[in-house]
Amino acid sequence: MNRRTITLIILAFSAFSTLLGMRALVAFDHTVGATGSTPEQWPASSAIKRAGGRPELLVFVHPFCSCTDATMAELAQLSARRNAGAPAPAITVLFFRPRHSGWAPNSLWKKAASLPGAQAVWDDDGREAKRFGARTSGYTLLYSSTGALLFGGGVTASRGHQGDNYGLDELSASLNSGRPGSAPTRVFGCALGNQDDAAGGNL
Amino acid sequence: MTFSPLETIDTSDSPTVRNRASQYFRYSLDELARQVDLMFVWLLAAEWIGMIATAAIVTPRVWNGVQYGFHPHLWAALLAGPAFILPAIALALLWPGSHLTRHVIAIAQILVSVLLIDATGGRIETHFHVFGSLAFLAFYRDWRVLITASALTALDHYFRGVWWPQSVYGVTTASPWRWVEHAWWVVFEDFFLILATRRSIREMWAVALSKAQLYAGAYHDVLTGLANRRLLQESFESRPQSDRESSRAVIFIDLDRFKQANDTLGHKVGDKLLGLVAQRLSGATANTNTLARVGGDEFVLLLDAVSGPAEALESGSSLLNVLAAPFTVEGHELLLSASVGISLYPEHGRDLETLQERADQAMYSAKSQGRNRCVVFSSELAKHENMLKEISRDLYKALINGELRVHFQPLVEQDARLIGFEALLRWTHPRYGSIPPSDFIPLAERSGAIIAIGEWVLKEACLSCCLWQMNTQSPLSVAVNVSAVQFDEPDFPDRVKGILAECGMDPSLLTLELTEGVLVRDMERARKQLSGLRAMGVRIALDDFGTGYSSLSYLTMMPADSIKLDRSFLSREFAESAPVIESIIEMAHRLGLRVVGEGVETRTESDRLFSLSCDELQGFYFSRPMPADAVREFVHLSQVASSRRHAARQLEETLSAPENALADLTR
Repeated sequence: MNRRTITLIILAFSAFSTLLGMRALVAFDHTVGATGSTPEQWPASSAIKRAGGRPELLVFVHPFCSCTDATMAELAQLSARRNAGAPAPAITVLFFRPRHSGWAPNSLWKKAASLPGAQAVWDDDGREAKRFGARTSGYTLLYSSTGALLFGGGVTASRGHQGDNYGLDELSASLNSGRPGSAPTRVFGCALGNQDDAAGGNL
Repeated sequence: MTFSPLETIDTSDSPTVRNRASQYFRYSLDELARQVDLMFVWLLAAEWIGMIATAAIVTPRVWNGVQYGFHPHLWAALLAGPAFILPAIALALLWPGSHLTRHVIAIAQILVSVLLIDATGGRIETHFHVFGSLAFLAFYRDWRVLITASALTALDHYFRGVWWPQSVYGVTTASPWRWVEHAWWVVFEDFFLILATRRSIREMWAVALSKAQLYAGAYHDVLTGLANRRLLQESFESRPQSDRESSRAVIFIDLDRFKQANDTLGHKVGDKLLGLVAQRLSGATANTNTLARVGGDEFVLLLDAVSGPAEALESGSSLLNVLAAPFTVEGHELLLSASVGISLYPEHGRDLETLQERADQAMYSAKSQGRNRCVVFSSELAKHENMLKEISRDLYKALINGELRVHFQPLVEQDARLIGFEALLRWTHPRYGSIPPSDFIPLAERSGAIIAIGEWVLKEACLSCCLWQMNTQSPLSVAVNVSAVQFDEPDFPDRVKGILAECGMDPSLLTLELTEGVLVRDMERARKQLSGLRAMGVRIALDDFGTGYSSLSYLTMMPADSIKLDRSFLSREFAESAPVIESIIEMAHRLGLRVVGEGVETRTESDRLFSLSCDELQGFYFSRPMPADAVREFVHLSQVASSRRHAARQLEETLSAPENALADLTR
């Protein structure tokens, strides 16, 4: 084989493997995570303590999901998007934790706790997540002060990617107007408890 | 790089210079591309490591629902190496400078940007990496590379925009202005970079052009645009190893009597003439050969792949043919010829210096054989040339050893009345015997020995002239030939004056003979020298009149007393030459000049010239040149003969008038 043929083979291999890799990468980034059945009204069985008189923002997070960093970064902008006069939501970030796992708060926990008006809590065995139909890390819900579901979905455009997205726009609009959004938005992130739920979970 | 030395070079901005400049330019661009390729080898390697580090810091792991694993961004960063960074590096190392390499590098560089942006979660700050990549790629000074990189960026955004518009345009996907904005920043940078590239390329071109102009100046003769000695040498040495042993020819071309044309018509005409000669020679020579101007009117043609002397001789003859047609320079129609000498590689030498020296020897042989011919170098010719060299060396010794002699040839008037002699130099070499002046005078002129020899001849001639007067009581004159080299000496008139004073000779009995060529070298200076000589009373004769370029204007300008008709007039048919001779004599007489006919060998020639009113004659018919000792006897016999002729004429006159004769008898 001459040098030209070798070069062509290398370039063909390079192009093929690059395309394959890029495809896998965008598949990972853009595959929508699973969602369950989210109650339209705040479930009475929920153990989450409601603030009362304020909208409730729930964020379901897997503590080891690095993609959820982007969700935290987007939620950090929420207060800036809130109109004057619109009520500040009570934010509860629920961190999935298997029973007896011994998982401790990490950097994501700290980010969650640092959101304005937020509290980070453990969701042992994902009981609350199941109750609210959350199966993917980063799943965000907004309930009105009366307990009606205003928004449900993700607040990133793709997995782990910051930047303008419909989810955050919808969430901000619902918060400011007190009315439900037009449609649920897609969520991108790691599976909360079940491998099959994960977006691009086989990666 | 290949370059035909035959092409005419104008060091300013000729197509040839531009061709060479474009070669330099391309070479510079290729060299630059090779350097940038190597820069990218390091850059891509560093970026790979940086990309892995970034992915490891930003998103090292991911939870797959069961366990922690490497994040796909980290996998992507790790696998980017074998997928596209290493192939790009391999190409840069294997094929540095190639267009394919730089485009593959451009693609790899943009893919690195894409992955970095992905690994950092699409942060807008990381997009600066794309602009940095474009800036780095601009080092290639190749706008196509920038277009490749920009096109890949556009493609990436297009596909992402189609399938995942939010990831590219955020929430403003419906706005075409967002797309315009995205495109604009890349177009803006590309526009700026392409402009900068264009400017940089222009500067590189200017540098290349300057280099080409310098090359043209350093390797070419400015006057003719032909190769110079240096390029000739390099052409000779740069022959491919495979062709080293095949035969080559060095053809040495020397223009005949170019100096005369240059001196007569001026250097400007001479320069233009050389340019035209160069053009003709170039036109008659294949581009693969090297034609160089190596001296004033000397050219050398280096002929490759010659089958033998016959082919070289044929090439030389064809060069003579192209020079045969008249040249027209500033209204002057000029006829030129050349003498051509040929030497062959490897028979006559293995280096250019030797070959050129031998071709030069052959060229001199062509000149001595009558010019306008080709001569191939041979061992016999070398022997002859060596002899000439030996003669040249021996000239000074000849003067000291008394091997030189001055002979005298009589000058006669009508009725064969002796009026003087011309001094002629003779040399008897101890080894080669009698050597004709036509052989050794040019050598003496070349070596400068002619000054000492000429002065000695003048002194001998003057002394002899004084002796004749003492011995014969006749005021016989003596004519001495003066060489151009001798005449050019600023103190020549003073030297003549000194010799005349030393000998106590009447200056009016001395005639100095100068050729047309001597006078036209620097007419103003010549006139000044001649005026000085004439002021002393010395007479001036213009020798070999009617040959060469025969600019008649100098006849009126130069202070002379006589002209000597060239002997070639007598060698032609009299019917043909008579009108010319008659015209010259009439013109000379009108200008107050006497006319001397040379080379008279028969009575018929003598009678004819005298019948055309020629004033003086000289030639074998009257006497061969004789040693000084024989002159006294010749003068005596001449006087006796003259008396007898006088008596016979008186008797003839008396007899032709019977009444007078009768009266005389009666008395």
